[in-house]
Amino acid sequence: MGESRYHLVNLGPARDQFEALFGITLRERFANIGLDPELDLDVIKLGQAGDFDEFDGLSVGLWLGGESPPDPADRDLLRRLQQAGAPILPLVPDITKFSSFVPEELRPINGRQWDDDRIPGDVLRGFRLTRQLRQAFVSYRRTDATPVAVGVFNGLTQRGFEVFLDTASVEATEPFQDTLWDRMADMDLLVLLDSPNALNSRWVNEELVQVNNLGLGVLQLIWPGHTPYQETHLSTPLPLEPADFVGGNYGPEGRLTDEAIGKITATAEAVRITSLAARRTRVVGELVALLPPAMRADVQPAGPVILRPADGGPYGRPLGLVLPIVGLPDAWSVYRERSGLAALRITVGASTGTTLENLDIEGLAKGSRVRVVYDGLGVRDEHIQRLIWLNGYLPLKTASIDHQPRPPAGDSESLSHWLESLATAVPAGGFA
Amino acid sequence: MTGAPIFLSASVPFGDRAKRYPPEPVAIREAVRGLIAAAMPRHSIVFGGHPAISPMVWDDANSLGTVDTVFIYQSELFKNDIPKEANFFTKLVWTPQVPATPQKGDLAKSLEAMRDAMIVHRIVEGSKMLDPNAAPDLPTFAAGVFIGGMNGIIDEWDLFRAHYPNVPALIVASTKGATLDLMADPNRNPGYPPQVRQMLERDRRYRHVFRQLLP
Repeated sequence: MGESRYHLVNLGPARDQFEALFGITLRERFANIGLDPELDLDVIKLGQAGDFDEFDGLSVGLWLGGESPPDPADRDLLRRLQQAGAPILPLVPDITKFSSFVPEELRPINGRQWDDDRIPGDVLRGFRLTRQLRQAFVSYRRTDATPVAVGVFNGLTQRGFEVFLDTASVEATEPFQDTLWDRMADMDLLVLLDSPNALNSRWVNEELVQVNNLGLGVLQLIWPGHTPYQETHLSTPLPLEPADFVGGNYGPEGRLTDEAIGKITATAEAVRITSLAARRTRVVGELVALLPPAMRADVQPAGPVILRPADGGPYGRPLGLVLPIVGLPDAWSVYRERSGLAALRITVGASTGTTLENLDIEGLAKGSRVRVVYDGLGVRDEHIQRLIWLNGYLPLKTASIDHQPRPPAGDSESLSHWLESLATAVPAGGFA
Repeated sequence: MTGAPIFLSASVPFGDRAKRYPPEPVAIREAVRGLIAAAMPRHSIVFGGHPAISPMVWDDANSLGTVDTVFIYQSELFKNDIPKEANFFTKLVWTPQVPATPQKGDLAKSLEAMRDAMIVHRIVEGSKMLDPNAAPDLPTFAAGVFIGGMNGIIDEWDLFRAHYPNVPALIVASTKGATLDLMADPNRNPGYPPQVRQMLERDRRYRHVFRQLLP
């Protein structure tokens, strides 16, 4: 678990230019948000590809383009990353000649010129490391563990997390789900302080199982001498020793040592990475695997997945768009995705690929060619009911990655049916 | 019309044995969910109750409307320890608590009885438990799926393979735990074709993996 890192995979004929172009700035940006680039960031190059597991840890691919033909090993690694749903940023020395610098499979994807100062921000966004997308919830029992909770809060905050402390949940009177549910899409991590008497089985069975279904990572700090409920076994355990507490005092006034807090925050990061990668696989990886053979998906580094005919060449007119989201669709996350669409420009039509057009989002949405895709497996009826209410106000239709018998209103036919119908449709016209 | 059942053997390494079998709880979680999503409603599921996994299986099957085709086996030995979610299942199968013998303790004997009913004889009806001549209540398995686990999963693998040698048995090695031992053991590894082995060892798109590999 401690092996999980943010993997920045360098590909392409100009990959050796990475350090000169981005090495310093990227590491600075990592450090600025409270991470340690030496420990948390792994820059992967060809040669390490054999050991590299594209499903373990969170990956972003940088394709540094050039005129020389791409190494087949690079293209293979690219394919593996794309299958896992990792965002790929194609970067070229001259954006006006983009398509001559990248292999065919990357031509449909928006690229940048490598002196573009937005690139570090793109990388961080690919890792979901912007502050608003990096949130943690800490649940603890007030009478057992307040100083420890404060220590964990401070440690995670210094590491760049926005942290929400919650006592009410484990006190077993209020369900924690209301507070948590409102921010579910942006919450990656729950840190559970399993002090004696902290958890009760009702909370564990109802709340924790929902947290797991939603895909949050759960890090469980286990007090010395305390045996966790078996129901918590899907959490990542971190057993605490008396030596982790100042003066060996792990009673209600006990505080953690700095070393212990360091160990906890490093493990929290690894849990975040692993569960975020799994959440991304649930919607992007699985979506790409579901496509009918007649269709191809181009995963943009930020923004929607563009669906095109498989035989239409890199610039075929889109058949539709998918916005995969982490967590459940709510008004805010859908609005945010929808706003991002308005600024999207993609290359369409001309085989030389120099024409950038604005995508007609309205036309595609009206023609029922846009879907927000989410993983709703195991979500309980009361939350689906909330979604039904919200769906009346959402500007886009939603679809669950699985076929659900009682979909919220606003979910159209199953995702598979929708994809099949797009594959047999005439490509969308109506470009602005 | 639901087809033949799939046997699921899944657990999460914990405690001292977690040193031998380092856990990957996220992978185990994703694999179990992926199986339920890919296999149901086409197949029913048979599994031994587990305190962390049972509630999630229930929620997932419930959201698909397929709770009625999940058969969950619980030993009477643990009657007081199981989560209340186990009782939400409509097909909860109790297997008897068996007293210790000079050779084996009551835990081992009761677990043996449960595995006998669940895997070997496919008995659901309480009165037929422990009757070696009882006819099965469930059709023969379409597949066996093995996720995470510790020593118990190895015992269940051996039992499943002994009685259903021609039924596809999937070692989901990307979930680590004892599945790594199964995959590495030349006497137990069934000899998957290279692409299948690669999928089982690396691919975390579990819905996709099971759609491809289940009959």
